[in-house]
Order: sequence, then C-alpha cells, then structure tokens
Amino acid sequence: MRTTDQNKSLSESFAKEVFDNHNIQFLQETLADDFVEHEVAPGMTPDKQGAITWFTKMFTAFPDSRTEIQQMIASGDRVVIHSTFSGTDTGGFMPGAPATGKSFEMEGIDIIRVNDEGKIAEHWGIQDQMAMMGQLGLLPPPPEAHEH
Amino acid sequence: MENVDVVRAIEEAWASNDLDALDQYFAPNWQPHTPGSEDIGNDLNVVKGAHQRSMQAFPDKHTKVLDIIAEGDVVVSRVEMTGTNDGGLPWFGVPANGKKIDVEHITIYRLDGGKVAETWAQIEIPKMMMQLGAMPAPEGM
Repeated sequence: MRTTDQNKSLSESFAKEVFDNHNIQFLQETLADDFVEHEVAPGMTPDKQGAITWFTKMFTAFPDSRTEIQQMIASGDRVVIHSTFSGTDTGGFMPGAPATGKSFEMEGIDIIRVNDEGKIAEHWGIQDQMAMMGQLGLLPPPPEAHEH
Repeated sequence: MENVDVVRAIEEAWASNDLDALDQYFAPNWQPHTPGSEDIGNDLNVVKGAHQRSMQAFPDKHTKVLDIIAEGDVVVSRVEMTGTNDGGLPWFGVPANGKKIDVEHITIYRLDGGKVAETWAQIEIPKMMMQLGAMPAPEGM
C-alpha cells in the first residue's frame, strides 16, 4: 500500500521531469499501460499513447514550457495538483497557423489516481484555457462576427 | 462537522438550490480565486446571482459530485454539471437553443474553523461554449 506522501513525491517528480525537463522517457515509465485520460484534447486518444503524443506536441509548441506547483492535496490513491503552467508559443500551437511568439501563464487543477505499482493510472484536469488563448491572442471571435 | 461534510453540504445546497443554507459555511472574509472572479470580491450574493442566472439558462440543470478528496484543512470536489440551454446565456451572447451541456468543475476549498476561507476553481468553459455552439470546435473534434 502506497502512502499519500509517496504519491505526492511522484507528482513532484512528474512536474519536474515531464513538465520542466520535457522528459518523455520519464512519462513513458510513469504512466500505467492501461492509463486513462479524462481531459481529452481534440484529436487525442484517451490513453497512454495519446498522452505521450500530446506532451510531445506541447513541448514542440512551447519549448520553454514549465510548471510551478501551488498546492497538493492527497488522500487514498488520489493527488490533486494545483499549478501554474507557463511557456512561449515559439513552435506553433494552433494547427495550420504560425507561431504567435507570445507567452502565457495559466492556472490549472489536476487530479491523478496512482495504482498499487506506483504508476499514474488516471488523470482528470481543467486548465484555464480561456486565459491562455486570450494571452496568445487566439480566442476565436463570437459566432455573430462570422455572420456580419 | 468534518471539513469534508461541510463541502458535501455546500455542493448539496447548490444542487438543491437551497442558497440560504450556504451562508453558514462561508467565512465573512472568504477569498475566492476563480477565473473571472477577481472583481467579485468575497460577496457570496454575487455567486448566488450567477447561480440563479445559470438556473434560468439551464432549467433542468443537474449537478453530481463525482469525486471528493480531503486532506487536513483542504477539500477538493469534482462536480459534473448537465443541462439544456432552454433559457439562454445573454452574458455570453448565446440565445436559448435547446443545446445540451455536460461539463465538469473542480473546486479546492480551504477551511478554517469549519468555514470556507479560500477557494480555487476551474470549469470547462471552452467545452461548454463549444457544446452551446458559441465557439467553433477545433479541427479534429
């Protein structure tokens, strides 16, 4: 049986290795083979391979991206991570559009479930995407604007 | 009352629209940190007003607590919200259109002496806007 301190420690290592160091190898080792993603980005499969593909895309779009953990709450097999994710769109975030060169900083709240083997088995999360899109100047105009 | 029970009672009060019950659970100097809430200060009545508007927009609104995680002074809830836009969301420029939403929000509550002192929340706004037809879905969706 894992302790909540062990699960918090795993979350900190994940933040440092994956979000800061862009270490895909660590991601592969840390996600369970039957990992389930509940925060599914457009075109992404909700599994381990989908998560690896998504992180790889993010690191290409934002080569300087990093995260800062604000607080962690752990109970049972869950860890809640409240963090601030930041980066600069130098690689091209929007498909088919050039890189904006702009920086962003957004808060998010993530929940992970850690299995008995110490692997991340499930992830839920909500990021302040409106703030990020706004800072990158990528918020689509409201539908009315298309009609006039 | 355990902290986790305070948060369960809060979620139940929102779900059953029993807004008067909420006052006892929030400290007077409660500090919310929800995107877009920077200007509302700690006035619970403003949040109740937003709740009433969402009830008008989604008369069949239903919320369900999917997960709750508690450690010490902090309790986290993950809540699903479903409903049908039969009333319109004029503040988003969205008329009533019968479209259904199914989104989640996560709230972190920090309690002090059994009352909520601080909250941080995130809600799936872009997903909701897409479900309402108010924002184009990105390619591949």
